[in-house]
Amino acid sequence: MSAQSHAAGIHLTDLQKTYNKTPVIPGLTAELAAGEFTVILGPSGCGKSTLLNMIAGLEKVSGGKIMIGSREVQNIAPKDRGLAMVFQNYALYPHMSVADNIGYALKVAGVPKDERTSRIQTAANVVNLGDYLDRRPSELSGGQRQRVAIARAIVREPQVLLFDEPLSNLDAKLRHDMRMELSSLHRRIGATSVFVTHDQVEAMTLADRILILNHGRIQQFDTPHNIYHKPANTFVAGFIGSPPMNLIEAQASNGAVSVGGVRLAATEISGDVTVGIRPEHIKVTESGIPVHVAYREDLGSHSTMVVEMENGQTLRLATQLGEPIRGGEWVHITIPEDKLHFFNAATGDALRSN
Amino acid sequence: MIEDTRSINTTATLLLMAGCAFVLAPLVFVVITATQSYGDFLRNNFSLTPGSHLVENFRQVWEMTLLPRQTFNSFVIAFASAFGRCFLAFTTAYAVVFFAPRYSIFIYAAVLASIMLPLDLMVIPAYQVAANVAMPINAVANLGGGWETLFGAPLDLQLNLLNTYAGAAIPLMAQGTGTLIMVQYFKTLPVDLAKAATLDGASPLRFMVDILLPLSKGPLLSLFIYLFIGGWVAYMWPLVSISSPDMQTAVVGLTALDTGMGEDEIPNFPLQMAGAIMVTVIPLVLIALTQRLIVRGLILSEK
Ligand SMILES: Nc1ncnc2c1ncn2[C@@H]1O[C@H](COP(=O)(O)OP(=O)(O)OP(=O)(O)O)[C@@H](O)[C@H]1O
Ligand SMILES: [Mg+2]
Repeated sequence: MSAQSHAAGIHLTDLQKTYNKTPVIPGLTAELAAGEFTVILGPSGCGKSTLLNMIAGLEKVSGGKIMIGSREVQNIAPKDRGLAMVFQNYALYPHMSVADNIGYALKVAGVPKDERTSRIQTAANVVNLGDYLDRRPSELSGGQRQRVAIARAIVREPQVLLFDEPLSNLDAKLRHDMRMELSSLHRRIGATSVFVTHDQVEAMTLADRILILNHGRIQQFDTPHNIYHKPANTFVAGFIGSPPMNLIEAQASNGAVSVGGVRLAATEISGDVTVGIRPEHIKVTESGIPVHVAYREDLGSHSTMVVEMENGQTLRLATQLGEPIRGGEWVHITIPEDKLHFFNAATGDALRSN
Repeated sequence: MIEDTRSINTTATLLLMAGCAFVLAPLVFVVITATQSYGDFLRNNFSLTPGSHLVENFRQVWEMTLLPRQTFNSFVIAFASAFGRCFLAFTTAYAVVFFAPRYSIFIYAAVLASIMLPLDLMVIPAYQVAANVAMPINAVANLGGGWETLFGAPLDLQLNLLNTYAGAAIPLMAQGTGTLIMVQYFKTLPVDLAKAATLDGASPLRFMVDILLPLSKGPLLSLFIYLFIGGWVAYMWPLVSISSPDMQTAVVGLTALDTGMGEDEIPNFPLQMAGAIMVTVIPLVLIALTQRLIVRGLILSEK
């Protein structure tokens, strides 16, 4: 299973989905490059699975077009779209052995037995399950089951691999290991991959590009770096990062933006504005804005605090471990001007990102 | 609980033994009576001393009565009706759960109706239909003299299923408890299974046969045994729909087993009891053979 040359891009054009007159996806246009690893990220119920299922052909589209490579596929049967899918709860056939699970698609397609056996073996080796072919799914651990599901997906050498929250059922350590495996698998296989998750760590680490979805609308579709450093709107800004970015209602006038009388930065805009600052960019300093530490959590590698300014505005901030600060104390913070993000107070769209 | 387990155990054992005695007493009576000869029985009436004619009675039932033939009939009818009901339950539940058609509600209504209106309640119309299966077709075709104006004479198709296996078994199939059970079972299966099979290229029929059927083995087998016994002990419908003794089922045949010649003559109770034992043994053997599978089926469906 060497790198596949036949990965195909996915073009979605004004794709729509309506359930009983409720538009779940009102009209979505996006272009996923061939061989790219796209992560669809968004809160629960935003339509991630619906979008994936439409690409897979498991849900009918209510409108719009799906192209895989140069083929228009929205009216083609799922099996003829050249894609495979990995599900959250594995969806292995419980009564079949690992080998039969992996080879079922080949059997249905009428691939001769010899070829089938060798392809099953190859796919199983890719996910390090070569020795488990005779087991039943119930005799495997969660991680092994998910690997069987992955082998089942890649055995057909699909142009497109779809994943619907495949790691959510695994514990934290296994999830980390599987993330690394998936990443290296993607590099070896090279199939265009679409990966749905609501875990931003998965998104940031796996994705070539992240598509952030809310209420069925694309909020931003960009590289993890840009998503983090140049959020397109307050939704993305507040969704990415842990703890999330502080979003402060502020006023800009006379060339400066300030919140409750405290000057934050120079600016050329004026009027109401939402200012964003990431908790990890706020520094505790000798002098600066005086704040009262309302709450503090030690997380080992760093600690997070909730602080309150004199005018009542609260901020989340993350500090390096070892800062000798306790809850209830008064400290001074500095908010670096070049780390501020500005958003339109009414629409939430980014105005300027430094 | 823990302080006094021993006395609780003793009480429980005693209660269980009393229950067993209560349930088994009539059976013991049946077996003892079956060991007596007709002569002994006439002389001593019912007695609790076992006789020595058990084998002789069995031989007589086997060689002199229609019961062996009727047992075979019972087997065919119970098997066919149980198989038919399982098949209908499986396919209907598959349609309802995996395709969720708009008309599901009507299927549920029909299933409920079939449960609330058992065959025993509809014996007369069922008899009329079995006497001529084409009757409903005739009735529709002749509505308002339609057929007559077109072809000169009223439509009069005839297909009599009385006294046939089909006539006895098919009406027994028309009952939807199995559908409800299979619907519940299918709803416990992961929904993504069907999606995975679809992406693997399996057609809906192929999914049903390759994936769903093997997964339903346990529940289906339990259902089958349960329905088989139901068909085996069915009394009313076979009695009504079958008139010739050599097509009759064993349970009905049992009641006609040597009931005496004249008005005053005492029936051959030992012979009847021997027959009853024979008729009961077959479902018992079936349960004994499949017990493990049934239990496994129940456990599987819990998962
Ligand atoms: N079959 C359906 N009928 C009606 N509404 C549906 C159906 N399937 C999904 N929805 C609705 O569509 C919306 C999007 O659902 P979807 O499953 O795509 O969300 P999701 O982003 O995958 O969420 P999660 O992260 O919880 O899996 C939800 O509001 C859901 O209620
Ligand atoms: Mg989902």
